[in-house]
Amino acid sequence: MHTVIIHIILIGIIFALFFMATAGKINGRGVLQQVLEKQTALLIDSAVPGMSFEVRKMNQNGIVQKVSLKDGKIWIVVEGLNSLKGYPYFSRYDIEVVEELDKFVVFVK
Amino acid sequence: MGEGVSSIMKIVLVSFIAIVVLGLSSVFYDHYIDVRDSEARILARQVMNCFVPEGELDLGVMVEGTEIFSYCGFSDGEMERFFVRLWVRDGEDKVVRKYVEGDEGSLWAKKIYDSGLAGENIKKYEPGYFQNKYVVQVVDGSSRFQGDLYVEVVVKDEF
Repeated sequence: MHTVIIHIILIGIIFALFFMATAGKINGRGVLQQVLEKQTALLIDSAVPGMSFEVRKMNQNGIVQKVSLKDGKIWIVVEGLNSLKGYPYFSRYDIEVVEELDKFVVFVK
Repeated sequence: MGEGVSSIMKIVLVSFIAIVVLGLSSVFYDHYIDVRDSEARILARQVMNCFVPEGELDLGVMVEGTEIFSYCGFSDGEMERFFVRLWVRDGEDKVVRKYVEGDEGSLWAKKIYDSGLAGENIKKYEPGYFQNKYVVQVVDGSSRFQGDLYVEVVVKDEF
């Protein structure tokens, strides 16, 4: 009886981990993150000084928790999914990200 | 002892099945979005604006061996993925000046993909590419003529 209970608990834990992992893949958070990072990188690539653009936190690609620039890449956290690789951008100008109440604003100086 | 081993085998089997299904879902639901052709086009325009301000290319300023990226204000680290080639032809279609920067191997890799030798399973590693020709005014010392400036950009994958 004890053995059966232990089996059920262990198999339950494995399936719980499995469903959590696949849910992350099936709801496409990785794709949403990829779309946001690459769109923003292309905007930075083509921007000229004086331009600014917004990434809304309540985004059609999901809830954006963080937008940051580091090591020449843009990193966006979407729906709790941390960015593992980011996406590289190139620019001749200074780029800055400022967080506001409902959005992140990218300034090109 | 026998029951213990049997239990472990059952757990291992369940874990294996879960990992297989997880792996399949990773492959099925994963999707790569390729924006490198767009990056190549943007960089080509940026380099054009830098080399040919107001449509005029001064060969006295843009001397042979000018480093494209540093001249245009890009830092080396962020341009490692790019190969850029510019060449200027005069009215007689003769190449009067050439500028090259980056890893020329990526251009060679692009040609491999264009030849159709690369398989579908490595398609996502195909470099991004853009090439265009612009009509510019070329200033060479005291002479001035209309020439063609060719810009070619190759973008390596980010993997």
